[in-house]
Amino acid sequence: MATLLGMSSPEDYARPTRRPLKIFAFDPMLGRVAGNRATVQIANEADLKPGPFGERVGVIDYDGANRCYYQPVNLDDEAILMQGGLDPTESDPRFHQQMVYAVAMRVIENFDRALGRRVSFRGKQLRLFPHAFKGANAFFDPDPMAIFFGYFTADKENPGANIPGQTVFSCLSHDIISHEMTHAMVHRLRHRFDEASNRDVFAFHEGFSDIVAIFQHFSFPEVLTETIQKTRTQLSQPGPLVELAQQFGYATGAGEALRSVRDPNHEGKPDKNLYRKLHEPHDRGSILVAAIFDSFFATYQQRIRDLIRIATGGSGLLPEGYLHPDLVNRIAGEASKSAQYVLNMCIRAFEYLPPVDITYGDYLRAMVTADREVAPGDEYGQRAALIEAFRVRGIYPKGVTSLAEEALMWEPRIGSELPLLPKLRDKQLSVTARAFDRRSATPDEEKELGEWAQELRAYAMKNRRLLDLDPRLPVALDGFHSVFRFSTEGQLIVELVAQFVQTVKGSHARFGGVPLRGGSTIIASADGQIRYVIAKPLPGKHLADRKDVRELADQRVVDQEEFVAECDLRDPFLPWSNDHYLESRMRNRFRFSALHGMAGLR
Amino acid sequence: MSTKKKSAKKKSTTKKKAASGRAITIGMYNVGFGDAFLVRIPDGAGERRILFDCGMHLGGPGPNPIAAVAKRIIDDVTENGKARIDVVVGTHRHSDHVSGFQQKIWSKLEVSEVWLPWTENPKDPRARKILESQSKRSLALVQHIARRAKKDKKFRAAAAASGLMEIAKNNLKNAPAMKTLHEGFSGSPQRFFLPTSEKANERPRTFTTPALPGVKIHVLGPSKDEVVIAKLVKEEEMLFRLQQSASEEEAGAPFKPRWVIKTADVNTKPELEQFRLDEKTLKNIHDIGDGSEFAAAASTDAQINNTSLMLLFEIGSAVLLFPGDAQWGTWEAALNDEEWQPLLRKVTFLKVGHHASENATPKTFVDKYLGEEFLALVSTRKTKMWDHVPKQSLIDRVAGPQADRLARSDKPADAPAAFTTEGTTYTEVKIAF
Repeated sequence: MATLLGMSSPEDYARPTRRPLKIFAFDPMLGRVAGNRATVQIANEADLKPGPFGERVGVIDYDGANRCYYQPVNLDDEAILMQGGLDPTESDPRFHQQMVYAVAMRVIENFDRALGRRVSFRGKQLRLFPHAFKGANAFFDPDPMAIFFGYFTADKENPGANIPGQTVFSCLSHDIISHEMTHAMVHRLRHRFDEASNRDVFAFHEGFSDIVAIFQHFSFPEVLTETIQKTRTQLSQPGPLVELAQQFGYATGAGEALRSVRDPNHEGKPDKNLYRKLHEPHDRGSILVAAIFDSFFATYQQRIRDLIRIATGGSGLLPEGYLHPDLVNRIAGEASKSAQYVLNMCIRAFEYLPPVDITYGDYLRAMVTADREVAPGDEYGQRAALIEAFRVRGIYPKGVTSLAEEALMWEPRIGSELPLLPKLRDKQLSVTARAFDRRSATPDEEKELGEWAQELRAYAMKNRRLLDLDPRLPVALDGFHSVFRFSTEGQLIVELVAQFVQTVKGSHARFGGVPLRGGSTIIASADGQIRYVIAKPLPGKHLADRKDVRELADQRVVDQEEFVAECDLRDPFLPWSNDHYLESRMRNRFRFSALHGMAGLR
Repeated sequence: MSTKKKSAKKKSTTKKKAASGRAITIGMYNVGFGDAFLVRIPDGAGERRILFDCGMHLGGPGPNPIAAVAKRIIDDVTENGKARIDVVVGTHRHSDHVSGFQQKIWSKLEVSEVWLPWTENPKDPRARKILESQSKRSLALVQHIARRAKKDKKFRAAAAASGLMEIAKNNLKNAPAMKTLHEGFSGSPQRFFLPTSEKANERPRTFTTPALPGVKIHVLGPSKDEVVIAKLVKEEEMLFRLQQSASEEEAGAPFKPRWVIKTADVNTKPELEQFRLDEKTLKNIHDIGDGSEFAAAASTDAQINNTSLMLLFEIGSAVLLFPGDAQWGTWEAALNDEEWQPLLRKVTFLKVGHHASENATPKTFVDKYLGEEFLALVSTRKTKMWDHVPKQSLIDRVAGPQADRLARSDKPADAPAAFTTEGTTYTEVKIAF
């Protein structure tokens, strides 16, 4: 472009790395409540097309109910750039698109940050449809990779703060977008968690998605200071900060927010029976949310104790009336730091999860292991609080002798008979280099990755027994990637995570369409040493001399069988079903579209 | 009553069969897909009678019209020109359990007591809420199905194949039949909505009545637990959608026309290329919500089943279990109740619930509670639409390894030796006490 009066051309300006966009921090129902109109900063994607249609997510505003599209927003338009995104409004679909994009990117970036790598959808875009259909629902569909948001008219008799019969858009709820987006991320990281093989698998999917949505609330500063002032630092008190999807809950006539961080019983208190008894995935997921939130709240209180003492001349008793704004700001800082820490810990645990058949106990063990690797000291007692929060809810990992941190960590395999991973060092470096570089892989690199995958698989096949895999069955490689983290001495550590899965042929029929699978996640250090083998073993003769593992393996089969029976008992379709339904019933029941009907959302 | 003895084809290993003299008689009328059971308990020179239900499902009519069954029952309880039944039990409001009570003929039947589940109590606000929620939804659903079937050929075919309308209609209020149970019969019967409240202290969980001397009655369901109740009124998303469907069909796009782009433009203009959708994705989007009607019908059906009056009778050594069509919610509460557990282990007669559908008789109950010494009746009929009712594996488990414990209404010819049958219309069993 020609220069004007000798001034530099636009290309000479440094490209901003972040892009500000406006969103509803909660949803339109909260109107102008303090902080509800928030600005978030997300990565400034270079080739963002109208939609917005970026590299990892693309918004497609197709309305299936009206068989039409809506005008796409162009976020690079000057008029929009100049004002940091369109102002929040319900009447302009382009703002809806902007908000869905912004919140989706926030979730992705939270995963990027916690995992220390760039999570992509295998070179494709996850497609987001803000107005796909009419209905009080929204769901992630793994096939085709998409999130469909519905819109509907608010309950005519009991609409809460909505106008009776007004149109409610699920795509304008920060929590619904975050929740569905998290489903997509979980699917990306562990796609076998889409198979309901025990009571916890889908509950984990739901609970974890709520956790991400709730903890993101703590990154809105105005919301946080307002709540701290109002609750006098007791953040767990009911209110928008700790509740999910308020508008949705009220608009559907429920008379309350969809869910919250409280335990799913009348008193909202921990109860060991809930984990034993609750069956429905969202209800059961709420137990996980409550446990994680409890542990957050305990460490948050720990972290602000000194501030309160300083502010109160050592008494620790807050005075009557308004709290000093400086104090509130400092407390808000601590709250958002602790929240981000917990969120990171929850996400980072994914590297330490088995590839199939997750239970809450596995998740606790993964969180403890992951956190200890990065913060052995546990300065604020985060891990201790976490373990306690699980204990009071009756969640004990199987095969663990005590709830001490050391016992809960996955057992390190260093020094076992496992041979080193071959030629790890050079290949890992090339993959590492790719992860830093954002361009997509060249054909040569693709070929190299393919070769490495084959090597990994061959290694697993050869060492099936030592990897707690079944020596009679073939092994599939479900995924592998490098992980970066800093050691306590500040050195960069590179590790490799790979997931191996085995499937018992012909077992679908026995479990209503979900096969019996086993598998192991391995974590190897850069020199090829296997550090952890996180296994879900299949039963068989190969475990004859390993009593503990054998019992775990046998129990998994019993659990899967019992879970199918439990679902059958509760299934209103069963009497009216046909063979086709019966063959795939465990899949049909747990499609996200079915799951996110209001029954579950409530 | 004249019943012809069926020749014993199989060796009977059951000890509890037709004891000489003192035996309770339980008769099952073949109503098709529905229930009608008459229990007779010897009492001195005469007998006491209990009628459980009289109804037929639209989706599975029996060999005789329900009017004929009603008349037959009245005939069977008529002595010296006077028809009398001591207790009439309406287990739940489903048409396949009460439709027969529409008949005028019942007005001449003398009844001492009528028992209904507490959810039918017109004076209980919680009961009214449940009834209202369930029947409002059911009506909306029936209307919606009719409307949609008129316009949508594919839907019509799918509905016919799955018996959608029949299930939906079965859930309706059945007001005329319920009127008989609430207000009808001669002899000014007393009405009880069981279990009655603890406060009223009349007939809470266990009671006796002068209408049935020597009989101890236990009310195992429906539960009054808040959690169980909440499930009875829980409105699924699909139901919510259906209620809205009428207004939604009229409402157009949620945005002003100036925001709309035609699909044709997206498919032709290069700058809109990224929005083009393949057939599969389009179908996916357009099909969202399909099956809502069936889900709504089935879940309401299960909710109403769970209002079933689940009764257990102790008569001497006999323990008779009539679970209505109770499904898991009610069964779960009963099986977890320490007071009921020992009784459930002593059952000597079982009316198999919900026409032997797979999940109305928990496996745990059959495997861990039911012993060897019992007999069972199931009123059922195989239909084309619902080919897993009755569930053969359940029938086999209850019938036992010798297949000698269970008789089904639709196959009287196959009834084991312990049962007597009459043509295709009636099956009977005697239980010692």
